[in-house]
Amino acid sequence: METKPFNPSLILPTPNRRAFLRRAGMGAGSLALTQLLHQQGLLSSTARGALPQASAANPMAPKAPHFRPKAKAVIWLFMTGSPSQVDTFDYKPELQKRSGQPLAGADPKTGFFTTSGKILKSPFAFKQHGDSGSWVSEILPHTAKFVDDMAFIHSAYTKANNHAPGAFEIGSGVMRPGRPCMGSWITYGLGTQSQNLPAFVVMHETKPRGEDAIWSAGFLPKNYQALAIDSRNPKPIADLDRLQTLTDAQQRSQLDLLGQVNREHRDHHPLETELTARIESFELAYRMQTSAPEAFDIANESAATKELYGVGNKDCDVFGKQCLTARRLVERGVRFVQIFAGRGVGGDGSVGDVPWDAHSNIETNHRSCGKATDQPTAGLLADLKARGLLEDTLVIWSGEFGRTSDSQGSIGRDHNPNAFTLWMAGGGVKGGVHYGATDEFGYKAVENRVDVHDLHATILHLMGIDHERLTYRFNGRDYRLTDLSGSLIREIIA
Amino acid sequence: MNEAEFHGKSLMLRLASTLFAIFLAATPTISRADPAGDAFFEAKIRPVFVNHCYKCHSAQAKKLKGALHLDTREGLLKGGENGIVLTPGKPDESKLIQAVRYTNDDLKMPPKDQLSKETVADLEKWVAMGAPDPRGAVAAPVVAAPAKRHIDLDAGRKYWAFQPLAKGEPPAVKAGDRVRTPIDRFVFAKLEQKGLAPNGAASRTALIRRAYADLIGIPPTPAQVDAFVNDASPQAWEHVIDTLLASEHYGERWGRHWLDIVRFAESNGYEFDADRRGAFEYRDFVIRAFNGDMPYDQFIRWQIAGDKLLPGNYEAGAATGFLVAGPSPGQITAKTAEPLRYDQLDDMISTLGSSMLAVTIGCCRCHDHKFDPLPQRDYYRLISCFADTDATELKLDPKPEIYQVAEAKWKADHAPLVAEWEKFMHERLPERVQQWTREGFGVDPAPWRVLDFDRADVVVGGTPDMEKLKRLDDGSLLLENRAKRNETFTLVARTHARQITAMRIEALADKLMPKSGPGIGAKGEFLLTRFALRATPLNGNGAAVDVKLKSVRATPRAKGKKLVVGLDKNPGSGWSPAESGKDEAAIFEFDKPIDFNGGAELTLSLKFDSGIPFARPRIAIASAGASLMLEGESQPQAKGELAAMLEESNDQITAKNQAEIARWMRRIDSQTADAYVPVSKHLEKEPKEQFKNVFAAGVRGGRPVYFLGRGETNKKNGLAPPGFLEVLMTAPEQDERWTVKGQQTVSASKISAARERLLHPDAGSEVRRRAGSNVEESGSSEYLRTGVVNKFASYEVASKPTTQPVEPRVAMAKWITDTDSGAGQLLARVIVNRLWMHHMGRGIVATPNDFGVQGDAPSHLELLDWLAHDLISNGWHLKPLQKLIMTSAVYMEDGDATAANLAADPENKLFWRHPSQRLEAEAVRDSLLSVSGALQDTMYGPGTLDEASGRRSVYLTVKRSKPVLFMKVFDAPEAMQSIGERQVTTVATQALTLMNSPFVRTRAEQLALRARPKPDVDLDAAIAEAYRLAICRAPTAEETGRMHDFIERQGKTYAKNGTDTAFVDFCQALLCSDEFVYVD
Repeated sequence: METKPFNPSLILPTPNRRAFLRRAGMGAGSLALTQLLHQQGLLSSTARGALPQASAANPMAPKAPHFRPKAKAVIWLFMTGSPSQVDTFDYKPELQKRSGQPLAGADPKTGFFTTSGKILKSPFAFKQHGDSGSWVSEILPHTAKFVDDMAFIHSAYTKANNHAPGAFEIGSGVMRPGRPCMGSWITYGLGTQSQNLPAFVVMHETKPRGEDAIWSAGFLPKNYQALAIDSRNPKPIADLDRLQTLTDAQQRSQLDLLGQVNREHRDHHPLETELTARIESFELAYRMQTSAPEAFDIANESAATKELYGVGNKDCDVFGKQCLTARRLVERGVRFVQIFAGRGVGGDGSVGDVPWDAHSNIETNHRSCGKATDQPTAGLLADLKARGLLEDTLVIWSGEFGRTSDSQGSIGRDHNPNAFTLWMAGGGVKGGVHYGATDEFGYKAVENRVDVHDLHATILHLMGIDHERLTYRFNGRDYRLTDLSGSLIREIIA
Repeated sequence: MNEAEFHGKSLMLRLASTLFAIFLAATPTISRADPAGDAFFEAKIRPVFVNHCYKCHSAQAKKLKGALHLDTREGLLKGGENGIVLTPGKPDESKLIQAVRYTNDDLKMPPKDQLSKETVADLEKWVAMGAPDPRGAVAAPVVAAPAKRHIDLDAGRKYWAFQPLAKGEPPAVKAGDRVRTPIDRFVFAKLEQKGLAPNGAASRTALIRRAYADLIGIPPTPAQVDAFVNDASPQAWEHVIDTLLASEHYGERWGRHWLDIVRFAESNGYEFDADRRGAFEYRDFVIRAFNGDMPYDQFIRWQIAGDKLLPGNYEAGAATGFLVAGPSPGQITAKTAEPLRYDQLDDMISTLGSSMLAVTIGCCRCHDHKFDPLPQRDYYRLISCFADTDATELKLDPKPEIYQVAEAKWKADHAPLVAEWEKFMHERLPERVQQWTREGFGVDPAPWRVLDFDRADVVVGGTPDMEKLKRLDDGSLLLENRAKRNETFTLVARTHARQITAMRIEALADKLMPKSGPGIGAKGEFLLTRFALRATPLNGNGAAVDVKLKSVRATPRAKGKKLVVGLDKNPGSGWSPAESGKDEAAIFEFDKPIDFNGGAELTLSLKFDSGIPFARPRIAIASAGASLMLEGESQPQAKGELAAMLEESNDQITAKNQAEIARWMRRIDSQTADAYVPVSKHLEKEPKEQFKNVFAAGVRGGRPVYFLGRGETNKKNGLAPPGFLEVLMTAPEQDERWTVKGQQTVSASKISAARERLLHPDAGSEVRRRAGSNVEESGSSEYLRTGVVNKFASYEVASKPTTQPVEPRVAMAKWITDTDSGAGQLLARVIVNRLWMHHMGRGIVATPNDFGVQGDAPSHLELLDWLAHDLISNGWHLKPLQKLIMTSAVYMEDGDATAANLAADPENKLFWRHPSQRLEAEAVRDSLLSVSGALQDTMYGPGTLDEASGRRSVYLTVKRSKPVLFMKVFDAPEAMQSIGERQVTTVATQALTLMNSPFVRTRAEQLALRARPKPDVDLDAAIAEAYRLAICRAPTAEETGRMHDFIERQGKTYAKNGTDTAFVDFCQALLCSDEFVYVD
């Protein structure tokens, strides 16, 4: 084995590395992790050469999962505003039969406003689809073609009954802002596969209610935070474009100068390992100037592909573009993509930041939200499947919570934290299965109830992470995404 | 695994658990007390049982399998239908272990999901340890609930953080010649024990840059560097530190550290993220407090209870912004109101615990602390201190003395004018009244008498922000600020009319309103939803009457609006007009007439729940017999009132009715009116307090706080009385010492004696301060203006032996700063550690927000205690302590490493070197502004979200949903919870910002112009100047040559002004360099 001169920077913890060790938990105790990092440091100086390793010097390097993952990436289609379970996937004949009658056990203060306590039937026709015979309402005809790829969870519930707290809860496990969201946890746990792109990308149009706090990295270091792409902003990544005054060659020569200056400084400060990372960060930034726009540019996609996603279709152009971009990102190694359905999705009576929020008219609202998301969703599934990506890409469809089975006003539905349906597809989940159930009116989850921690535990599991061992020490406590609970929904795992 | 191995492996665990063992004891008692083992069980074993075994092997199993109970210790030891499953100490013989190993095909558990290797190893280890199991014989009711255990507070008090400060003397060291301060003795002694030597001193250029970065966060100018480098006096270094500590930039730098710790922000977070007007006042308070070197204990007391210690005081009120700086929701639903309130209380106490005491009390919301001696009841007693605390906007005058002086002068000027007017009333008024009566009254026969209101206020949007309705000549009232949506009009008038049977409200059209009104709605509409009228006898004879209505009628109304206003309490129904641009009217007829001999005060309350009021009402009353016409004529109030009053008094003007009669005469008689003009004109000049709206803690509601099981509001276990952390109380009377006034008269004298000894061990001189007793502080603005400390200190007298409850927050403020029997000594340790951390790159306790068992142990406890003691002794001033730290040899070390030191202490826990540090986001940005000459020195006031602003970064508005990009990129924390130690990341987005942002490029251009103001400046000299400006040193010859070459080469690639642009490129590279972004 080739030997190299001893370089203390490779094994010595810097202040940051020290803090990192103290806080990080990926199953190993911090002592063991120290040893691990020492080993890795030594390895990187010898046999493994330039292969990036998880360390404080490069916290974004890919890290070994706890066990073999079934999914490499997640695309979360967030149905902002909360679709109604009984008007999409949770078909309830009793609800249809007994419209207008009092809903037994109804609590008019379940949601944000006050509901009537009277049953409101779904205005939509339901049909069974696929080999699994899964029920889907008429508003999602394209999505319905993929029910045999989906694992439905009909018994999800939340604590929160309003949008921002709900988005915080389903994102981070706690209905307050300030905790890291799942995308950040996963990035922290697994690092990034794509060194030229962020590991975690959020796409939105209007910002959902709760705004950036929904995809916050919380107390995790900032390198695990999301890159948020506003579809209305032609320059999604700040300061990505080279200054207009410089040509590529001029910038290159400026950066070469800087590199020389910084290397010299680093050589005088061998103990400060992050200086090496800093030199690399300028090179990465330089590369990102070309690699990132390429990843976000759908211009070169074929007309057929665009059509598949509904790009150019006025009903669903925005969401279609976002879904198509999500596929491109996942192809390039991005781990976690979250798309928040935005203004373009909004239907009658809804507000842009919560399009599915059908308080006043479930029919017009959901019909229009369906139009705006259905074809892109199906297009994404079809495209992922065709490219062999669905196998290890987990697609999730969910809102913040559900909607009431009794009416708000005469034809609207209020928020309902007690029951909602979500589905997952690909990435190691079974197809065509239905887990959990609501009561006969779809009002409350009654069988195999699934809370947000269970959901998170399951998603982390699919990503190869044991949710109990992914911890981070902050203000004296080892935090987990799943707090003190969370159990796997084994029944949906393939 | 043999026994020796086992002992070796579990050694770490045992060491880690020693402290744990001090104050946690398991119940029920099992003779072998094994807290370490129990901890292992709780951390590693119980979750496995709960998640993987209980489904089939517990009391909750739908169907118990194998008659085996794993949810009790007894069941586990007893085994199931196939016999014993566990042999403590012998994993290989235990069926439980065999089963989870999955090696025996007939016995695999759990049957479907094999446990991970780590989990199996944990189980093996646990059995080898003897299967410690704190659980009782009966299964706990809640699946995941930890075993019931009690916290031993006496043992807890022996934990290092909760012990009294040790009063150790700085040790003697061999390297005495290198000692500059007592600090060095503590640090050197530890190094010498290990046979290590501290580094030598850093160069002067390095030192001055370090001092500037540390104390003000802006690099020194070349002249400042030169002055220090060339100053041969022995006081040169001290002089630099004194200058910097006196700089106003110091507070901007150190205040920002504190703002991290208290999760300061200027918006709500959650949905809509509403801005908090006046939230910056807290930031300004912090900066001023640091600049003024406010005693730290007072700094703390004010943040907890400044509003109650010094009511009406601007600084003390602003300080309480601390309590309410956390995020708060923009929408609250009925179901979430109560949980959210407890969230808010949790935010307050968690922040207080982390920031001031470095205890993780927030952990106790659901259960006793798992590691530290903090019982759950302490948590609820602490939040109970905030029971009535909520965010509000206080109206506070920063300079009340200006008002007081002006007010005194105005009063002096006013008195003779009033005397003159009174003279008129005595001498001339009777004659004026007589003349008017002689002329036959001239009383108007019109049925409606228009009320002339004494008070006409508008409460806007539910906040106590008062606006006035302006009286017009026709008796109507004009709402001057129509842009706002207003809620309630409160109108007060007096009248001597008798038998009042009805009130008419005219809503008059006006061009100032949309579509000429009469409402402020977009179509000129309004919606009056509630009407309430109260009549109070003026002479005090008789009770006030809430008038009931008999009927309401109005001009044609909008469709669908029931005219039930005043008759119902529904905020949705009310009076709304049908047309725009027309006068409208409604008549409210009373159930019973209002009839008070001696006149009545009428208080009318008009509510517009929809937020759409009319803007020009005219309101009149009618007495019995008048015809109540919607369009009926009206008369001014004056003549009718005079006639009624004179009738009451048999035409006599008496001392009682004189003022009232004069008031009405002013309306109808020009001579009376003229006589009053000097008074009324001067009244307009009455000075007003210059209030600022300060976002701060206020008292609202006062809803009780309950003990909650598992932190859930549906599990209330009785009222929680206010109280504090028991582990931090050493006096026998405990809570009462602080919560009850007068109880401690005796002990107060003891306290002062003890304190005196502490403060002045050598003399019986006057007591400087008595933090632990009951007298409140005063003189704030004087202090903050002059920075003179003594005026601030309180010289209190022992309180009288009464027993009144002290406001809980006041009591908490006193407890937390009480160094004798409260939390004061820990408070001192925590802040001292923070100062040390910011100066040295690492705290003596490396976890500044957590001094608990889970945190890091102090590397130099004696030093920490000595510093804390020093802080208390010097009256809690931070600046002298910082100076002490910075003049130590330890602080002045360079960053180099020797092989021996590296090998022995690679992490520099013993402080043998001074490591380099990345500047924080604010310091990077401020340095960019400073070296380019663009830094503005405007202090205080509303901040800005404009990243390109030239103001210091501490004045960038902290809007939770909209972090300023530059700050975010360089790791400024989200203001959601207390941050004791910022993370430092190195990411490509930072590089992108430095390479590509117009902000940085502009700075490079400005730096280039400073270094090379004209093209004829010698390039090498300009390069040197840029180095000196940006990184405070001259370049080496080699560097100059390299930069020169670059500029020439790069310059040729530009079509014009090549050298100039290339020089900017070079300057930008300097600003991107490690040397610029790092200190040392």
